[in-house]
Amino acid sequence: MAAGDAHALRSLTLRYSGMLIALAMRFGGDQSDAEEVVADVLWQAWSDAKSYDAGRGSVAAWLVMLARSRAIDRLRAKKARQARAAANPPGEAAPDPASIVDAAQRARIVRAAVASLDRDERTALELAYFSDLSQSQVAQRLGLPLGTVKTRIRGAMIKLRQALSGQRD
Amino acid sequence: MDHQELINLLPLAAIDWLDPDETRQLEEHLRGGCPQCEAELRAWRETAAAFAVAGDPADTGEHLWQRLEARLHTEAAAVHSLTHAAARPRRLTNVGERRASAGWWQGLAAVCAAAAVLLLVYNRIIARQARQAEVHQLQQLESLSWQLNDLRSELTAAQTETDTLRKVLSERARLDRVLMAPDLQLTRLGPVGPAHNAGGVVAVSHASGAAMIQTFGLPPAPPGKAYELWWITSQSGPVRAGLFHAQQGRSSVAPASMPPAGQRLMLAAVTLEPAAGVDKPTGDMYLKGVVERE
Repeated sequence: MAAGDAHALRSLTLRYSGMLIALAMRFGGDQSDAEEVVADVLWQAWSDAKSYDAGRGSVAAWLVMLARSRAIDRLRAKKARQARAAANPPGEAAPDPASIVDAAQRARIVRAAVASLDRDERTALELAYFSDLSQSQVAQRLGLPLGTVKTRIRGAMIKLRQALSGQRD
Repeated sequence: MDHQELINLLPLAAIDWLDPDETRQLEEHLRGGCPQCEAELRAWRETAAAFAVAGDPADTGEHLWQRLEARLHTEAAAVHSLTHAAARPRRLTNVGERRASAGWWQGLAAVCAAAAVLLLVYNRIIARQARQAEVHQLQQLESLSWQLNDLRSELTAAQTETDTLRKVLSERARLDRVLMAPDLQLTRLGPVGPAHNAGGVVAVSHASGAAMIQTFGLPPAPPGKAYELWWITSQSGPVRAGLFHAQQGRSSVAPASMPPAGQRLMLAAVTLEPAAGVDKPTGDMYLKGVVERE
């Protein structure tokens, strides 16, 4: 991926745009908003490819981080404009193993792992990740002590990681 | 916070869900260098990314690519316009054009920022040169001022010397008149006391009403002192005849008072007295001469 190479941008778009738009839409935006976010993210990644640090993770993880950050920024701007109190609770995406990250099999495993999470763990993790809420706000929203919320999120992450490790093995 | 506690934070850090204090402590720890935590955080980020995109992907790859391709073309056109300085204001009608315009303006802003920096640097250089020129001019002005003061001092000294020479010339001219007078009467003065090689002459002309004294070999009078000429008569004794100063190695000419009329002159003498003169001699006698009878 090098700035100035249109083929690299096309390849980046075709490979990651689907999952990134799905991710962006989970932050409360519609399809148009999500496309806007992802177009900006892919453009940024393509034109500023040198800012990518392979030592900090894969390209997919980098793009996810950029997309999440951009989606949260857009969500905050939208909240400010509409003076809404809080974001909508995240929706749930229908499983579709096609064209996610590196391999469809991995996506299936991840989704299966997410689906197998304890309901409380999954709710805590989704609320923490797909919203713009602070620790105390998530705890308040769930009506739980902060320590309990952290334990649930950490437990969910550990199960997901174990599932991904098993897929690699 | 110990190492294990920091490790426990890593899953939450991967989903960007730490409070500010936890974030600060973890960042400090990572900055200090901890390969274990760095590797763990990297793994947790991959897990978070996998979780993030575990949902249903949107089938919009080609559609989004068309948008980005249009943006790419617009960007290239904007760059081309900027390169050829042919950009013209136009009304922007869609999002793609607005983004391209934003890129164009960003480029223009970068050029303007660079120009502003260059202008700032140029201004500083000019200001520094102006300060150096100002300092140089002040130094020149100061030097000229010193030269002017020196010239003024020289002029004052020259004026003083001119006045002295005029006075000397005037006195010599007077002496010449006295010496040329047909009734000239001369009294020769010989050394007495400390000035063994000193001498002088007193010239009197009753016809011209003038008297002069010329001396040589007298040492310069000390500060606050002056030489005083006396007429010594048989009736009144010493009578003041004038004050004068002697110059080292040069003869001195000074006007003198006419001798008292109707009295018999016996001697002419020179003594060293206070600079303002005295009514009767008090100091050492340097010169003395007998006045010849007419």
